[in-house]
Amino acid sequence: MVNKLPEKLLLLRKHFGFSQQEIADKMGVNVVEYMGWENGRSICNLAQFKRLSSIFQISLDDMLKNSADIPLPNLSLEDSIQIPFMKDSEAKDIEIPSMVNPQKPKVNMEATAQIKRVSEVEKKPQEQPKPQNTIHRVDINQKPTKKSKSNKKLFAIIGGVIGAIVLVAGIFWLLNMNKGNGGLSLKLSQANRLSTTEKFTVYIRDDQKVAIYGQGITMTDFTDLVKISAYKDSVVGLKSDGTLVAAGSNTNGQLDIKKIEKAVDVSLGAKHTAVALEDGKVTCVGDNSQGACNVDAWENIVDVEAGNGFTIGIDSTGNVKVAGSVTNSSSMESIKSVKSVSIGTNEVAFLNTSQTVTTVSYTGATATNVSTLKNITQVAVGNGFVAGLGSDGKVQIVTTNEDLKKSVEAWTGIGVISAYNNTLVGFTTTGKMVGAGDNQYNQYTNEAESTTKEKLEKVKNLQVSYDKSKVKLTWDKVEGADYYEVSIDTSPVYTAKAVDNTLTIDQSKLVDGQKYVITIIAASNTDKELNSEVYSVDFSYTAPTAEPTATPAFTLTIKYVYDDNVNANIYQDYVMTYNVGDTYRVESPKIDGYEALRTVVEGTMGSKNEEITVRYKAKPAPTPTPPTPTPEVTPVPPPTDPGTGGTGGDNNG
Amino acid sequence: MDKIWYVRSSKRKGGPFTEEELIRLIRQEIIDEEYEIWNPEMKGWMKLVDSVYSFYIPEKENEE
Repeated sequence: MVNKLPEKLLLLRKHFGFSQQEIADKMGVNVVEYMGWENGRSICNLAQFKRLSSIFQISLDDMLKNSADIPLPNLSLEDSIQIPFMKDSEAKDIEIPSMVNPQKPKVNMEATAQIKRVSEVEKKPQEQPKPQNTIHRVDINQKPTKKSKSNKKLFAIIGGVIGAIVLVAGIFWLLNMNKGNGGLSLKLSQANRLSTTEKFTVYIRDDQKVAIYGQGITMTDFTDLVKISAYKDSVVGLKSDGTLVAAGSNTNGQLDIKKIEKAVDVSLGAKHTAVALEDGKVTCVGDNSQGACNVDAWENIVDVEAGNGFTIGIDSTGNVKVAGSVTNSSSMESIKSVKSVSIGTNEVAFLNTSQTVTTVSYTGATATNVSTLKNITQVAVGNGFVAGLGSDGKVQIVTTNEDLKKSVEAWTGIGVISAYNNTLVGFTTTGKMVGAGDNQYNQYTNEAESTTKEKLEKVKNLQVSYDKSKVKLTWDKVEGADYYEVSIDTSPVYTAKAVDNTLTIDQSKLVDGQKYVITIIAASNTDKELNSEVYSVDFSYTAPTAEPTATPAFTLTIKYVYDDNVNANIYQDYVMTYNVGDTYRVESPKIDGYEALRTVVEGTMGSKNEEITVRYKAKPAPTPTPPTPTPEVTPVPPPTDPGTGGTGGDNNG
Repeated sequence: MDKIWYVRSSKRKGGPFTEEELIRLIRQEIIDEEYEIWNPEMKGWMKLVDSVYSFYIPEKENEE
């Protein structure tokens, strides 16, 4: 049998642009062990296959297939992190899978990107569609014999759902068109929410208005903001409807942005402004003497950063585009799987999907070695330092400035960071400002210093699985949480306190076909931390059928024991399940020095579990020392085909 | 190790087994090419011979 795992692992790893070391780190194994899987020396276990399927965003089934012909996921930068937190209005298209596979019901709340077959990707690599998000499936018990009938019903349901979605989408589109502003409805996130520059810092508050720190400039109509970008003495804001607003010095026309609509990202450079649009194109205003605005050919761009005479774009597959006259642009464009980018005084830092950072100098100065930065979710580059916001809310910084390092590494609960020259600023997830480094213009204040309480991280990644009569909820552990408050809007409302990040609920509390909202709060017993924000997920409960086809009928257990002591096993139990009426025939394993008092166990499976004990007695010793059974002895395996002769023995069962 | 593996053929169904037990049964040819395997995290049954666990099927010696 040809082992196809090496070919598959190589294909997936290259597709995601991971190194062997990166995958090994993600798997928590030594790189040598991973290399063993990829060169066919060894094979991983089921838990490791599950982890791999998660890393490579494919189903466990595809991971377990001994085939390299598998669907490759689109490289979306947002799918895996946004969907688990989807708000109610976004969680609308739960799919019901075809009812062909016998299995217990299972809900996976994780998102998957729509996928293409390998052959399609190879044929048309330039035609990868924009990523689309779907909620993963709600699987229910299925009966193979009713495949076609079930499928017809299913198609009818899906057709109805699609029709309804199209109708709602059409109404939505019409309503937004009436607004006359391009119809976008962008949401405020931590991305580009904070921007610091030479003399001031701007931050979008929760009310989507701007707060300014330092030497202020007059900013009018800076409301309903979702992103903001400042440079020197100018600032540009992106509104939730996709329009832009600007303030400050406009000496190069870099603030002539009023006519731009349907923007999804904006970045202000020294003399130009780059804007990513909803259709994936980029538009640019201001000085183009160095070619910074030669971006017309760019497509599928989701993130832009403007520097001094150059522009960097990141497309939806993580590829990098560079426009303008800048050193090492080809090195930048060779970097893959990029999630976001930050331009500093001398270097550019690229945050990739494996949450590590790559730096490239654009001035000829040596780029900072950032190999120590791990689990980074945001990156900010200044003059001689690179800071990364870790997924734990702490900031990791590479710098020779020990004072700066000491200040920054004391920060906790940080939600966003920004840097300019010798200043690094941040905001906690609770909206408190922190800053370190140059503060000549009071561009930051350390509001969080007096704050002793930090909010716990919000719960994420709820998984629902079924186990017999129980529903099991599992979610990612929240650091610092002492317990979790879980509630489900059953009648009466179900509430529970879970010490660990899992909870088991009796299915009798749920009604078949009913939709519920599960909410979880991470909580602390100490005064140091506040409870997390509420994590809320919609959940449709489908009761399992009474007897899943995968559940065995009845189990035959044969125990092999010493004759003188029934509690001492001489050999591992034989466990197999049979339907009622099935015949079975199991030869007793041969064990050196012992003989079975019953050489074959055979019979017909009744309507209950059966347990039979086969006793072994020691053979007369040929030498003064009686033989000892050894685990290395390989017994004759029981035959797979019943009813082919043999003799019966003493039945001690 | 959790008992999560089920097996079936046209004649028999079996399980749940631990992964270790499943591999032993394959190696001992108690579960052979005719079987399909499944665990609750899979979408459907998979032929043993189509799965990575086929790696554990003993190689057949050439018959003269």
